[in-house]
Amino acid sequence: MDPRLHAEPVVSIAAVFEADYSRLCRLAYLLTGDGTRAEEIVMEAFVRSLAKWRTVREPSAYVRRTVVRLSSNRRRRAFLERRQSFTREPVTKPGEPVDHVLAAVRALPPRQRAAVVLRYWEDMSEADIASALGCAPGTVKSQLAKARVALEAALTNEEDR
Amino acid sequence: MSFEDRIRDALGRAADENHAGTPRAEALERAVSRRQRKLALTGGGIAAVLLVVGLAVALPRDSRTPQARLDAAGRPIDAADTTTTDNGPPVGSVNGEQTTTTRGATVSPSGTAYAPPASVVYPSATTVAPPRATTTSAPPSTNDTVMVSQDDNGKTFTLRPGQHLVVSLSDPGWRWSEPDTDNSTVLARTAVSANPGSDHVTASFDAKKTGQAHVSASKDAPCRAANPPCMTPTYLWQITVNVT
Repeated sequence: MDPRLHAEPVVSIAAVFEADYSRLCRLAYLLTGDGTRAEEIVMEAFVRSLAKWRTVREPSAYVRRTVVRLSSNRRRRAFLERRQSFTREPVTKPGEPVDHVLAAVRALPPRQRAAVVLRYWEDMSEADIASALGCAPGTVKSQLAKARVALEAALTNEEDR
Repeated sequence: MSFEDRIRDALGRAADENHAGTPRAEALERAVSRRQRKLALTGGGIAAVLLVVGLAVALPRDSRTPQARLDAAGRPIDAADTTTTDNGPPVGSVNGEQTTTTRGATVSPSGTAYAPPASVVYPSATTVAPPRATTTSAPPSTNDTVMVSQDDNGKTFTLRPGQHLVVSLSDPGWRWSEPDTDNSTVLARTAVSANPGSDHVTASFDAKKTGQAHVSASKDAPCRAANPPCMTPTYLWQITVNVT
Protein backbone atom coordinates (compact mmCIF):
# COMPACT_ATOMS: atom_id res chain seq x y z
CA MET A 1 0.00 0.00 0.00
CA ASP A 2 1.30 3.41 -0.91
CA PRO A 3 2.33 5.07 2.36
CA ARG A 4 1.43 8.49 1.03
CA LEU A 5 -2.22 7.50 1.06
CA HIS A 6 -2.50 7.30 4.85
CA ALA A 7 0.59 8.87 6.35
CA GLU A 8 -0.17 12.54 5.90
CA PRO A 9 0.37 14.66 9.02
CA VAL A 10 -2.70 16.90 8.68
CA VAL A 11 -5.28 15.07 6.62
CA SER A 12 -4.75 11.97 4.54
CA ILE A 13 -5.72 11.82 0.92
CA ALA A 14 -7.68 8.68 1.73
CA ALA A 15 -9.86 10.62 4.16
CA VAL A 16 -10.49 13.38 1.63
CA PHE A 17 -11.19 10.76 -1.01
CA GLU A 18 -13.84 9.02 1.06
CA ALA A 19 -15.39 12.29 2.18
CA ASP A 20 -15.43 14.19 -1.11
CA TYR A 21 -15.57 11.59 -3.83
CA SER A 22 -19.32 11.55 -4.27
CA ARG A 23 -19.66 15.33 -4.19
CA LEU A 24 -16.83 15.79 -6.64
CA CYS A 25 -18.38 13.21 -8.96
CA ARG A 26 -21.59 15.24 -8.97
CA LEU A 27 -19.65 18.39 -9.67
CA ALA A 28 -17.82 16.76 -12.56
CA TYR A 29 -21.12 15.36 -13.79
CA LEU A 30 -22.66 18.83 -13.88
CA LEU A 31 -19.64 20.13 -15.76
CA THR A 32 -19.39 17.31 -18.29
CA GLY A 33 -22.86 15.82 -18.44
CA ASP A 34 -21.42 12.31 -18.35
CA GLY A 35 -21.39 10.18 -15.21
CA THR A 36 -18.64 7.80 -16.38
CA ARG A 37 -16.43 10.62 -17.50
CA ALA A 38 -17.09 12.40 -14.20
CA GLU A 39 -15.77 9.47 -12.19
CA GLU A 40 -12.72 9.22 -14.43
CA ILE A 41 -11.99 12.88 -13.94
CA VAL A 42 -12.34 12.70 -10.15
CA MET A 43 -10.05 9.68 -9.94
CA GLU A 44 -7.54 11.41 -12.18
CA ALA A 45 -7.70 14.50 -9.97
CA PHE A 46 -6.90 12.47 -6.86
CA VAL A 47 -4.05 10.64 -8.57
CA ARG A 48 -2.57 13.94 -9.70
CA SER A 49 -3.04 15.48 -6.28
CA LEU A 50 -1.14 12.66 -4.63
CA ALA A 51 2.14 13.96 -6.02
CA LYS A 52 1.69 17.38 -4.40
CA TRP A 53 -0.27 16.35 -1.34
CA ARG A 54 2.35 17.39 1.22
CA THR A 55 2.57 20.91 -0.15
CA VAL A 56 -1.15 21.55 -0.50
CA ARG A 57 -2.69 23.79 2.14
CA GLU A 58 -6.33 23.01 1.46
CA PRO A 59 -6.48 19.51 0.00
CA SER A 60 -10.21 19.46 -0.60
CA ALA A 61 -10.16 22.75 -2.50
CA TYR A 62 -7.11 21.65 -4.42
CA VAL A 63 -8.77 18.46 -5.64
CA ARG A 64 -11.93 20.36 -6.52
CA ARG A 65 -9.87 22.87 -8.51
CA THR A 66 -8.22 19.98 -10.33
CA VAL A 67 -11.60 18.46 -11.11
CA VAL A 68 -12.87 21.74 -12.53
CA ARG A 69 -9.80 22.21 -14.67
CA LEU A 70 -9.84 18.66 -15.96
CA SER A 71 -13.53 19.00 -16.78
CA SER A 72 -12.88 22.19 -18.69
CA ASN A 73 -9.84 20.92 -20.47
CA ARG A 74 -10.86 21.09 -24.08
CA ARG A 75 -8.27 18.68 -25.34
CA ARG A 76 -9.17 16.09 -22.75
CA ARG A 77 -12.83 16.62 -23.45
CA ALA A 78 -12.30 16.16 -27.15
CA PHE A 79 -10.28 12.99 -26.58
CA LEU A 80 -12.84 11.51 -24.26
CA GLU A 81 -15.71 12.47 -26.52
CA ARG A 82 -14.04 10.73 -29.45
CA ARG A 83 -13.38 7.66 -27.36
CA GLN A 84 -16.86 7.48 -25.91
CA SER A 85 -18.86 8.75 -28.83
CA PHE A 86 -20.24 5.30 -29.55
CA THR A 87 -20.94 4.27 -25.98
CA ARG A 88 -22.19 7.38 -24.25
CA GLU A 89 -25.88 7.39 -23.43
CA PRO A 90 -27.93 10.43 -24.37
CA VAL A 91 -28.40 12.99 -21.62
CA THR A 92 -32.17 12.90 -21.90
CA LYS A 93 -33.77 9.60 -22.66
CA PRO A 94 -36.70 9.44 -25.09
CA GLY A 95 -40.03 10.12 -23.38
CA GLU A 96 -38.39 11.81 -20.43
CA PRO A 97 -39.43 15.43 -19.72
CA VAL A 98 -36.79 17.87 -20.85
CA ASP A 99 -35.34 20.14 -18.17
CA HIS A 100 -34.89 23.33 -20.15
CA VAL A 101 -32.80 25.00 -17.47
CA LEU A 102 -30.38 22.12 -17.31
CA ALA A 103 -30.26 21.89 -21.11
CA ALA A 104 -29.46 25.59 -21.28
CA VAL A 105 -26.69 25.21 -18.69
CA ARG A 106 -25.18 22.31 -20.62
CA ALA A 107 -25.26 24.37 -23.79
CA LEU A 108 -23.01 27.02 -22.24
CA PRO A 109 -19.32 27.18 -23.12
CA PRO A 110 -17.17 25.20 -20.66
CA ARG A 111 -15.86 28.11 -18.62
CA GLN A 112 -19.24 29.78 -18.34
CA ARG A 113 -20.80 26.47 -17.39
CA ALA A 114 -18.14 25.92 -14.75
CA ALA A 115 -18.72 29.39 -13.32
CA VAL A 116 -22.49 28.81 -13.16
CA VAL A 117 -22.16 25.38 -11.53
CA LEU A 118 -19.66 26.60 -8.94
CA ARG A 119 -21.74 29.68 -8.21
CA TYR A 120 -25.21 28.17 -8.01
CA TRP A 121 -24.56 24.59 -7.01
CA GLU A 122 -21.41 24.88 -4.92
CA ASP A 123 -22.41 28.37 -3.64
CA MET A 124 -18.84 29.53 -4.00
CA SER A 125 -17.82 33.16 -3.93
CA GLU A 126 -16.48 34.82 -7.03
CA ALA A 127 -12.98 34.83 -5.50
CA ASP A 128 -13.14 31.08 -4.88
CA ILE A 129 -14.47 30.47 -8.37
CA ALA A 130 -11.63 32.55 -9.76
CA SER A 131 -9.16 30.41 -7.81
CA ALA A 132 -10.76 27.21 -9.03
CA LEU A 133 -10.82 28.34 -12.64
CA GLY A 134 -7.37 29.92 -12.49
CA CYS A 135 -8.50 33.33 -13.61
CA ALA A 136 -9.16 36.81 -12.18
CA PRO A 137 -12.34 37.56 -10.22
CA GLY A 138 -13.28 40.09 -12.85
CA THR A 139 -13.21 37.34 -15.44
CA VAL A 140 -15.55 35.29 -13.28
CA LYS A 141 -17.95 38.23 -13.09
CA SER A 142 -17.97 38.66 -16.83
CA GLN A 143 -18.36 34.92 -17.41
CA LEU A 144 -21.30 34.78 -15.01
CA ALA A 145 -22.90 37.81 -16.61
CA LYS A 146 -22.61 36.30 -20.08
CA ALA A 147 -23.98 33.00 -18.78
CA ARG A 148 -26.98 34.70 -17.21
CA VAL A 149 -27.77 36.49 -20.46
CA ALA A 150 -27.52 33.27 -22.42
CA LEU A 151 -29.64 31.34 -19.89
CA GLU A 152 -32.32 34.02 -19.72
CA ALA A 153 -32.51 34.12 -23.49
CA ALA A 154 -32.76 30.34 -23.73
CA LEU A 155 -35.44 30.10 -21.05
CA THR A 156 -37.42 32.99 -22.53
CA ASN A 157 -37.42 31.27 -25.89
CA GLU A 158 -38.64 28.06 -24.30
CA GLU A 159 -41.43 29.80 -22.43
CA ASP A 160 -42.55 31.58 -25.59
CA ARG A 161 -43.03 28.29 -27.45
CA MET B 1 -39.20 31.05 -8.12
CA SER B 2 -36.46 33.41 -9.14
CA PHE B 3 -34.21 32.86 -12.08
CA GLU B 4 -31.26 31.94 -9.89
CA ASP B 5 -33.36 29.58 -7.79
CA ARG B 6 -34.46 27.81 -10.97
CA ILE B 7 -30.84 27.27 -11.87
CA ARG B 8 -30.02 25.97 -8.38
CA ASP B 9 -33.00 23.66 -8.45
CA ALA B 10 -32.13 22.29 -11.89
CA LEU B 11 -28.50 21.75 -10.97
CA GLY B 12 -29.44 20.08 -7.69
CA ARG B 13 -31.78 17.66 -9.42
CA ALA B 14 -29.23 16.93 -12.10
CA ALA B 15 -26.54 16.30 -9.52
CA ASP B 16 -28.81 13.86 -7.71
CA GLU B 17 -29.14 11.91 -10.95
CA ASN B 18 -25.53 10.94 -10.59
CA HIS B 19 -25.48 8.12 -8.09
CA ALA B 20 -21.77 7.65 -7.82
CA GLY B 21 -21.11 5.57 -4.76
CA THR B 22 -18.42 6.34 -2.28
CA PRO B 23 -15.63 3.85 -2.90
CA ARG B 24 -13.13 3.00 -0.27
CA ALA B 25 -9.59 4.26 -0.42
CA GLU B 26 -8.50 0.99 -2.01
CA ALA B 27 -10.06 2.20 -5.24
CA LEU B 28 -7.76 5.19 -5.20
CA GLU B 29 -4.83 2.94 -4.48
CA ARG B 30 -5.70 0.79 -7.49
CA ALA B 31 -5.82 3.92 -9.62
CA VAL B 32 -2.42 4.99 -8.31
CA SER B 33 -0.99 1.55 -9.08
CA ARG B 34 -2.37 1.68 -12.61
CA ARG B 35 -0.75 5.07 -13.10
CA GLN B 36 2.57 3.84 -11.78
CA ARG B 37 2.49 0.81 -14.09
CA LYS B 38 1.65 3.07 -17.00
CA LEU B 39 4.51 5.40 -16.14
CA ALA B 40 6.87 2.45 -15.79
CA LEU B 41 5.84 1.09 -19.19
CA THR B 42 6.22 4.51 -20.76
CA GLY B 43 9.61 4.96 -19.14
CA GLY B 44 10.71 1.55 -20.34
CA GLY B 45 9.64 2.34 -23.88
CA ILE B 46 11.49 5.63 -23.86
CA ALA B 47 14.60 3.93 -22.47
CA ALA B 48 14.45 1.31 -25.24
CA VAL B 49 14.17 3.97 -27.93
CA LEU B 50 17.07 5.92 -26.42
CA LEU B 51 19.15 2.74 -26.31
CA VAL B 52 18.53 2.01 -29.99
CA VAL B 53 19.31 5.61 -30.97
CA GLY B 54 22.42 5.60 -28.81
CA LEU B 55 23.68 2.39 -30.38
CA ALA B 56 23.05 3.76 -33.85
CA VAL B 57 25.04 6.89 -33.04
CA ALA B 58 27.80 5.08 -31.20
CA LEU B 59 28.49 2.51 -33.90
CA PRO B 60 31.44 3.55 -36.04
CA ARG B 61 30.50 4.68 -39.50
CA ASP B 62 32.76 2.11 -41.12
CA SER B 63 30.88 -0.75 -39.52
CA ARG B 64 27.60 0.59 -40.81
CA THR B 65 28.95 1.06 -44.36
CA PRO B 66 31.35 -1.81 -44.90
CA GLN B 67 32.16 -0.61 -48.41
CA ALA B 68 33.20 2.83 -47.30
CA ARG B 69 35.68 4.21 -49.78
CA LEU B 70 39.20 4.11 -48.47
CA ASP B 71 42.45 4.69 -50.17
CA ALA B 72 45.09 2.04 -50.46
CA ALA B 73 46.50 3.03 -47.12
CA GLY B 74 43.17 2.46 -45.48
CA ARG B 75 42.44 6.15 -44.92
CA PRO B 76 39.14 7.77 -45.86
CA ILE B 77 39.22 8.71 -49.51
CA ASP B 78 38.83 12.45 -48.73
CA ALA B 79 42.07 12.42 -46.83
CA ALA B 80 44.01 10.67 -49.55
CA ASP B 81 46.00 12.35 -52.22
CA THR B 82 43.27 11.92 -54.77
CA THR B 83 40.82 14.05 -56.63
CA THR B 84 37.15 13.24 -56.90
CA THR B 85 34.54 14.79 -59.12
CA ASP B 86 30.85 14.62 -58.27
CA ASN B 87 31.44 11.67 -55.99
CA GLY B 88 32.96 9.72 -58.85
CA PRO B 89 35.92 7.47 -58.48
CA PRO B 90 39.15 9.15 -57.47
CA VAL B 91 42.27 9.80 -59.47
CA GLY B 92 43.59 6.74 -61.16
CA SER B 93 46.20 5.65 -63.59
CA VAL B 94 45.81 4.05 -66.95
CA ASN B 95 48.87 2.55 -68.55
CA GLY B 96 51.00 4.42 -66.09
CA GLU B 97 49.43 7.81 -66.85
CA GLN B 98 47.78 9.83 -64.12
CA THR B 99 44.04 10.03 -64.74
CA THR B 100 40.91 11.45 -63.28
CA THR B 101 37.79 9.35 -63.45
CA THR B 102 34.44 11.11 -63.68
CA ARG B 103 31.30 9.00 -63.83
CA GLY B 104 32.14 6.54 -66.54
CA ALA B 105 34.95 8.30 -68.43
CA THR B 106 38.60 8.10 -67.58
CA VAL B 107 40.53 11.11 -68.84
CA SER B 108 44.25 11.63 -68.88
CA PRO B 109 45.84 15.04 -68.45
CA SER B 110 46.57 15.08 -72.16
CA GLY B 111 42.87 14.88 -72.88
CA THR B 112 42.81 11.30 -74.07
CA ALA B 113 39.57 9.76 -73.04
CA TYR B 114 39.33 6.14 -72.05
CA ALA B 115 35.69 5.25 -72.55
CA PRO B 116 34.43 2.53 -70.31
CA PRO B 117 32.71 -0.50 -71.76
CA ALA B 118 28.99 -0.45 -72.26
CA SER B 119 28.42 -2.24 -69.00
CA VAL B 120 28.52 -0.40 -65.73
CA VAL B 121 31.79 -2.05 -64.79
CA TYR B 122 34.87 0.06 -64.64
CA PRO B 123 37.74 -1.24 -66.72
CA SER B 124 40.08 -3.27 -64.66
CA ALA B 125 42.82 -0.73 -65.38
CA THR B 126 40.94 1.96 -63.49
CA THR B 127 42.94 1.92 -60.35
CA VAL B 128 43.78 4.30 -57.64
CA ALA B 129 47.28 5.59 -57.88
CA PRO B 130 49.52 5.39 -54.87
CA PRO B 131 50.43 8.66 -53.18
CA ARG B 132 53.10 10.54 -55.09
CA ALA B 133 54.97 11.55 -51.98
CA THR B 134 57.77 9.17 -51.23
CA THR B 135 59.68 8.44 -48.13
CA THR B 136 63.10 7.07 -48.68
CA SER B 137 64.60 4.19 -46.93
CA ALA B 138 62.46 3.21 -44.04
CA PRO B 139 64.62 1.51 -41.44
CA PRO B 140 64.73 -2.23 -41.93
CA SER B 141 63.13 -4.34 -39.27
CA THR B 142 66.18 -6.51 -39.02
CA ASN B 143 69.55 -6.41 -40.62
CA ASP B 144 68.55 -8.79 -43.37
CA THR B 145 64.78 -8.36 -43.62
CA VAL B 146 62.65 -5.30 -44.33
CA MET B 147 59.01 -5.54 -43.32
CA VAL B 148 56.47 -3.39 -45.13
CA SER B 149 52.71 -3.13 -44.78
CA GLN B 150 49.80 -1.40 -46.48
CA ASP B 151 50.67 1.76 -44.57
CA ASP B 152 53.89 2.05 -46.58
CA ASN B 153 52.04 2.65 -49.81
CA GLY B 154 53.99 5.00 -52.09
CA LYS B 155 57.22 4.85 -50.13
CA THR B 156 60.69 4.05 -51.43
CA PHE B 157 62.94 1.56 -49.72
CA THR B 158 66.65 0.99 -50.17
CA LEU B 159 67.98 -2.52 -49.86
CA ARG B 160 71.36 -4.11 -50.29
CA PRO B 161 71.77 -7.22 -52.39
CA GLY B 162 71.02 -10.25 -50.29
CA GLN B 163 68.45 -8.55 -48.06
CA HIS B 164 64.89 -9.81 -47.87
CA LEU B 165 61.68 -7.85 -48.28
CA VAL B 166 58.50 -9.13 -46.66
CA VAL B 167 55.25 -7.53 -47.78
CA SER B 168 52.30 -8.03 -45.48
CA LEU B 169 49.04 -6.46 -46.63
CA SER B 170 45.87 -6.64 -44.59
CA ASP B 171 42.57 -4.81 -44.89
CA PRO B 172 39.40 -6.46 -43.60
CA GLY B 173 36.60 -6.40 -46.12
CA TRP B 174 38.88 -6.16 -49.15
CA ARG B 175 40.47 -8.81 -51.38
CA TRP B 176 44.15 -8.43 -52.10
CA SER B 177 45.94 -9.66 -55.20
CA GLU B 178 49.36 -11.27 -54.98
CA PRO B 179 52.11 -8.69 -54.56
CA ASP B 180 54.54 -8.92 -57.41
CA THR B 181 57.54 -7.10 -58.76
CA ASP B 182 58.10 -5.60 -62.17
CA ASN B 183 61.80 -6.41 -62.19
CA SER B 184 62.52 -9.87 -60.97
CA THR B 185 66.19 -9.63 -61.80
CA VAL B 186 66.61 -6.90 -59.21
CA LEU B 187 63.99 -8.11 -56.75
CA ALA B 188 62.79 -11.68 -57.03
CA ARG B 189 59.69 -13.00 -55.35
CA THR B 190 60.51 -16.06 -53.33
CA ALA B 191 57.21 -16.86 -51.62
CA VAL B 192 53.63 -15.76 -51.42
CA SER B 193 50.91 -16.62 -48.95
CA ALA B 194 48.76 -19.61 -49.81
CA ASN B 195 45.44 -17.79 -49.99
CA PRO B 196 45.74 -14.84 -52.30
CA GLY B 197 42.44 -13.07 -52.73
CA SER B 198 41.75 -13.01 -49.03
CA ASP B 199 41.84 -9.91 -46.90
CA HIS B 200 45.42 -10.70 -45.86
CA VAL B 201 48.30 -11.56 -48.14
CA THR B 202 52.00 -11.97 -47.49
CA ALA B 203 54.85 -12.20 -49.96
CA SER B 204 58.59 -12.22 -49.58
CA PHE B 205 61.23 -10.96 -52.00
CA ASP B 206 64.98 -11.19 -52.27
CA ALA B 207 67.16 -8.31 -53.45
CA LYS B 208 69.35 -9.86 -56.13
CA LYS B 209 71.41 -7.07 -57.66
CA THR B 210 71.54 -3.30 -57.90
CA GLY B 211 68.76 -1.55 -59.71
CA GLN B 212 65.19 -0.42 -59.15
CA ALA B 213 62.01 -2.42 -58.91
CA HIS B 214 58.43 -1.77 -58.01
CA VAL B 215 56.35 -4.05 -55.89
CA SER B 216 52.65 -3.65 -56.41
CA ALA B 217 49.38 -5.23 -55.39
CA SER B 218 45.78 -4.22 -55.64
CA LYS B 219 42.74 -4.61 -53.54
CA ASP B 220 39.13 -4.97 -54.61
CA ALA B 221 35.84 -5.00 -52.85
CA PRO B 222 34.34 -8.51 -52.86
CA CYS B 223 31.37 -7.23 -54.83
CA ARG B 224 33.64 -6.77 -57.82
CA ALA B 225 33.55 -10.54 -58.23
CA ALA B 226 29.76 -10.62 -58.12
CA ASN B 227 27.54 -10.78 -61.19
CA PRO B 228 26.92 -8.04 -62.12
CA PRO B 229 29.98 -6.55 -60.48
CA CYS B 230 29.78 -3.37 -58.46
CA MET B 231 31.51 -0.18 -59.54
CA THR B 232 33.89 0.09 -56.63
CA PRO B 233 37.32 1.09 -57.99
CA THR B 234 40.38 -1.05 -57.60
CA TYR B 235 42.96 0.40 -55.24
CA LEU B 236 46.60 0.09 -56.11
CA TRP B 237 49.31 -0.43 -53.52
CA GLN B 238 52.87 0.12 -54.70
CA ILE B 239 56.32 0.71 -53.30
CA THR B 240 59.64 1.40 -54.97
CA VAL B 241 62.68 -0.62 -54.03
CA ASN B 242 66.16 0.59 -54.83
CA VAL B 243 68.81 -2.07 -54.50
CA THR B 244 72.20 -0.50 -54.09
